[in-house]
Amino acid sequence: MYKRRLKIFLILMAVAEAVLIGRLAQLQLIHGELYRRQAESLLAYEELLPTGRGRILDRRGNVLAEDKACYDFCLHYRMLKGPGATEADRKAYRRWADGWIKRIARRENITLDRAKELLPERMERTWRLAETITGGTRNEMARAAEEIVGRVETWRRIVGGPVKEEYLSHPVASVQDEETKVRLQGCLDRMVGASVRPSHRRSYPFKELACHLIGLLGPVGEDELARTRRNRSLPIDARLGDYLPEDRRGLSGAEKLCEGMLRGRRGYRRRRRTGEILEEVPARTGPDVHLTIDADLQRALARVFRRRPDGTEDRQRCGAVVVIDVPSGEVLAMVSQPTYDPNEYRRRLRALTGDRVDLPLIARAFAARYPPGSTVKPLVAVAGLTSGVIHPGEEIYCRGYLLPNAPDRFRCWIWLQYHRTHGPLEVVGALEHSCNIFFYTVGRRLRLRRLHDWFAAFGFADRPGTGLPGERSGSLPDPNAPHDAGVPWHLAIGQGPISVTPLHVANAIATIARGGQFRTPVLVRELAGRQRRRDLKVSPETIRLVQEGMYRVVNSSSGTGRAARDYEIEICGKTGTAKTTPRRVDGRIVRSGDTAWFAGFAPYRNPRIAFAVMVEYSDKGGGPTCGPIARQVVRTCRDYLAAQGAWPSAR
Amino acid sequence: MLARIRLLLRPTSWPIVAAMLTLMALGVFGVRAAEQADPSLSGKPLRQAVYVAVSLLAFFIATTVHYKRIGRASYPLFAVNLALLVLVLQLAPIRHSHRWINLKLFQVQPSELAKLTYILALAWYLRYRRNYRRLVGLIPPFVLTLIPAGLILIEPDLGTTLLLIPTLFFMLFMAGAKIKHLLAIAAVAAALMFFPVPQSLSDLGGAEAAGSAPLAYWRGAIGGKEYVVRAAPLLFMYPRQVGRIRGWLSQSGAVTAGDEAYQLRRSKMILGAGGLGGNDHLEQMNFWFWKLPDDHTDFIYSVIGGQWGFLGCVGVMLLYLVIFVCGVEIASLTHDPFGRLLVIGVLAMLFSQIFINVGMTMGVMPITGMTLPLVSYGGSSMVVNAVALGLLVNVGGHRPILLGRRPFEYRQRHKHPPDYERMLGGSQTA
Repeated sequence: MYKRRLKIFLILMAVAEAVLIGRLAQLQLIHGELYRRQAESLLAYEELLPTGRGRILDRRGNVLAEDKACYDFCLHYRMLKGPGATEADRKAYRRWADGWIKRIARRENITLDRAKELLPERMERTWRLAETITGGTRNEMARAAEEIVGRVETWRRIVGGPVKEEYLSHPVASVQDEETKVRLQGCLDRMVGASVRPSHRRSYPFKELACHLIGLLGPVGEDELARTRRNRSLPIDARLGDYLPEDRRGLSGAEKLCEGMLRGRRGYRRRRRTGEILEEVPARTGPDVHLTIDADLQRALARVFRRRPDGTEDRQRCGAVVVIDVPSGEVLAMVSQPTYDPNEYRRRLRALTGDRVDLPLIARAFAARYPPGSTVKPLVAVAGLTSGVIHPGEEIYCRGYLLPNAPDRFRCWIWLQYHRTHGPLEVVGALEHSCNIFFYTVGRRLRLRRLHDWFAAFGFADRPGTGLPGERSGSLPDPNAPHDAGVPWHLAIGQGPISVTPLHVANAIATIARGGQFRTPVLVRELAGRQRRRDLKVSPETIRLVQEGMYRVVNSSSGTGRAARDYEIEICGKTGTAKTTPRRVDGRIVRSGDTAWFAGFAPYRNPRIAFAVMVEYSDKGGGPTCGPIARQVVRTCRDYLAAQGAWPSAR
Repeated sequence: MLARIRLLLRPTSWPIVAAMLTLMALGVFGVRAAEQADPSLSGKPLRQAVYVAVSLLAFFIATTVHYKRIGRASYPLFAVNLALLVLVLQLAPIRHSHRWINLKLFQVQPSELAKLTYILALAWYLRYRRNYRRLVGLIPPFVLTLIPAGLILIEPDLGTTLLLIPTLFFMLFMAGAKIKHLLAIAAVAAALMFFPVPQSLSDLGGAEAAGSAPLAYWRGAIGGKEYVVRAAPLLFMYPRQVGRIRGWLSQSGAVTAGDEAYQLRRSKMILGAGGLGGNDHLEQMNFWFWKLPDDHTDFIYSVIGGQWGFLGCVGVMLLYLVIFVCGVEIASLTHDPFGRLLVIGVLAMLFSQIFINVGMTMGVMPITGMTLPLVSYGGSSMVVNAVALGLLVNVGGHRPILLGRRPFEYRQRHKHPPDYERMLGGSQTA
C-alpha cells in the first residue's frame, strides 16, 4: 500500500507541475509577444518638447508681437493655495509644510519645533523679498496666485482627480533682466517654496499701436482643456496640438484669429529610462503672421487723428481711421482711439475694464457700430441709378422738407440750419450738397427691401470679412418684419435702424472706387485666400456720376467736404453727421453728440486708397471735424505710397 | 569524514546536492542582477552568499547526525520552537508583523524553523501508530498542527500557515490514513472556507465595507440596513489579504483594482516577456526599472522567467524535480517508518512551497508571501531548506538495521519479487 501511495504522491506532484508548466507555456509562449510589448511600452516614456509661438509682423516685417525670453519667479502650488478647504487639501498642505519645516530646520540649524513656529514668518518673508526684488506688487502676485489656483482647480475638476500641477511650482512674477534674476537666485535660500526658471512672455515692441488688431493672450479655456482630456488615450503624435493647462492662447485680435498657425506644434521624444532615445519628432515653432497694415503708416495716422486744425492735440478724441488699398482690398491702416498698451495689460486690467466711459478695450474701427449718416448716400445713389428709380439727369426738387403738408418732418439740413432750399438737384449735385430730400425720395422709391438688399450687397449686413474675432456685422432692419413707412426714407440718409462699423463704410466706398467690385477686406496676408469678391454689376456711367459727385463734395466751393480739400491731391469723399444716442453709464449721460464721418477715396482718377474717418460724439459736423483729418490722412498715405512708387502720378 | 563523502556520493544523494547548489547559485545571481537594476538592494548579493555558506554548513551538519537521533529529540525541539513562536509575538513588530526575532547580526524567523520541527514532531508521532486508521485517531495530528498553525497565523503569516495543511495531509496519506477520512475532512474544510456568513455593513467601518463588497456572495438591503453575505474566513482576514484575493480573482479583467493586482500584473508581464529564451541582460535590467516589488524575494521566479524565458523556467522546475525524484526514491527505498514520514514531509513541504510561489507569480494562486526555496533571498528559509535536504540525504544514507543482509541485494535495488514485497509489507507498518 505504501508503494502504491507513493506512486500516487508522485503522480499528484507530476500533475501539479504539469499545470504550472502549462500556465508557463501560456504566459510565455502563447502570450509572450503581448507581454513583451506591454513591458516595452511601459519601459519607454514620452516627453513633450516645447514649442515657440510665431510672431506677428506688419506688412514690411516690423515685429508687432513676439516672444521674449525672461525669467519667472515661481512659487509652489501649496504655498499659493494655502491649507485649503477640503480634508485632502489640508493633508497635502501639511505634508508639504512638513517637508519645508525640515528643510528650514536643517538650513538654519534649529530644532523642528522652532522651525515650525518660524514657517509663517519665512513665508511672509518670501513674499516680501519677491516684491522688493522683482518689482511686482503684492496685489499683482496675489492676483496671479488666485488665477493659478483657479486654473489648477478647473483642470482638476475636468480630470476628475489629483493632477500633477498640484505638486509643481507656478510663476507669479516676471523678471526681465539677468541682474535681477541673479539677485533673486541669491535670495532663494532664504525663501520658502520659491524657484526661478527661464520662460518667455509676449512682448509688443510698438506698445499701443494697433493693439486691437494684434490682440491679447490669456490662459487656456475649459473647452480646450476638456478636449485635451478626451484625447489622452490617443497616441502621442495625435496629441501634439492639444493645449496643456499652463498654455496661453489668443483671446482677441490676430492672436486669436491666427491661433492655429501661431502656436506651432509641440514635438515629442520617446526614450527609455536608460536615456536611449527611440524616436524624436522635433517641435515646430509657429510661423510668423503678417498683417497687411504698415506700422509707420499706422503710427502717423494715429497722430494725425488727434491733431486739431490749429496743430494742437486733442487727447480726448475717440474714433477710428480705416484705410483700404483699393486694388487689392488690403487694409493699410486701421486706427482706433483710445488704445492701451498690451505690455501693461495685466497690470492695468482693472483700470481698463473699469473705464466704462471711454471703453479703451473696444476697437472703434471694427468692433463698434454707429449710424453712418450721409456716408451711405453714394451707395443709395448707386442703388437708385442701377435699379432705375432715378435717371442720370433727373432732377428732384428740394423744398427743404419732404412731405408737403409736414414741414417739421423729413427735413433737409439746409432747411434746418439756414432755412433755405437746394432747389432742383440731380444726383451729382445731390451728393455734392448732401441733400436729404433727394435721398429721401430715392429711398421712398426703392422701398425697404431693395434698399436693404443693396446695403447687403455693399457688405453692411455681414461682418466685413477680415476674420478678426471682434468684428461686428452691420445692423439693418429686417425687410420681412412689419415696419414704419418712413424707415427706408431714414435709411437712405443713413439714420434710423442702421448702424455699421467704420470698416464697413470704408469698404463700401472702396467698392465704389473700384467701380462696383465688392471685395472683403484683408487684414492678414496669410489669409488673403479667404477674400470674397462680388460684382455688383454697376454701369460705368453710374460709377462716373457717383464718383464725380464725391469729387465735387471736396473740391467745389459749396461741397460739404471742402474742409478736406487739398491742392495737390484730388480727394473724393462724402461727409456724414449722424444723430447718435448718447452714451450712458448707470443711467447718467457721459458722452453725447453726433457721430462725425468722412469717407472717401483718392485720387479721383485711378483711385488708390479708400478711407473712412469717424469721430465719436463730436460737437461739430462731419465736414468741419473729420474733413481736416481726412485731408491729413490722404496726404500721409500719399507720401507713404509715393515713397514706394505706388501712388498713381497725376494725369 | 570519508564516510560522509561517500554518503554524499550515493546515487540518491549527489543529484540533490548538485541541484541544491545550482539553485543556490541561481539565487545569488538573481539577487546580483536585481541589485544592478535597483541600487537600494546593494549588499544583498554578498549577504546571500553568506547565507549560502551558512546553509551549506547546516546541510553538512544535518547529514552527520543519524536522523533517528534527531528524531528522538523532535518533541523537545518542537516545544522549543513553540516557545519561540510565543516569544516572537511578544516582541515588537517589525514592519507590522511579528515574524522575526532580532539578534544583532541577523534575524531569526521562528515560523521557518517551525516548518522543520513540525515535520519532525509529526513524523515521530505517526511512526508507529495504527489508530489513525480511525477517524478519531486523526485528532491528535490535527491538534499538533493547529497549535503552531494558530501561532503563526496570528503573526500574521497566512502563507506559512497554509503550508502546514498539505504537509499534514500528505503525511497522513502516506502514513496510511483512510482516504475517505481524509477526503471527508477536506470536504468539511472546503465547506467551512466557503461558508456564507451574513454581515451587517453598518457594523463595519468605512474602509472595510468598501473592501468587502466585491467578494460578497450577495449584497442587498433588508429592512433599511445593508447586509452582505461573504465567505466565513473573510471575516477574519485583514483588508490587505482580502485585497490580494480580489486582485487574484480579477486578474484578467479589463479593469483591475489598482494596488492589489499591480504586483500580479507586473509579475505576469515580466514572466511572459521572457518568451522562449528570455531577454538579454540589458533589456532585463531596463524592465526592472519598473520595479517589481519583492523581485528578489517572493517574485524571483518572474525574474528568472524574464531573464531566461520558458527554457529557464522549465530548467528550474527540472532542478526541483531532480530533488523530488531523488526524494521519492529515498522514500521508497527506506523501510524505517520515521524515515519515510520524514522524507515525505520534507517533500510535501518543499513541493507546496514551490507550487504556491511559482503559482503566485503566474496568477494560478493568490499572492501570499511565500519564498521560492533555495533561490529567494532570505537567510532563515534557505538554512531551513538546506537542513531539510540534509535530512533527506541523511535518511537516504542510512538503511534500517536488519538482522541480516537482505537477500538479493546484489540485484537492482528497486525491484523486489512480489511475494517478498508482501512479506515486507506485512511485517512493518506501511
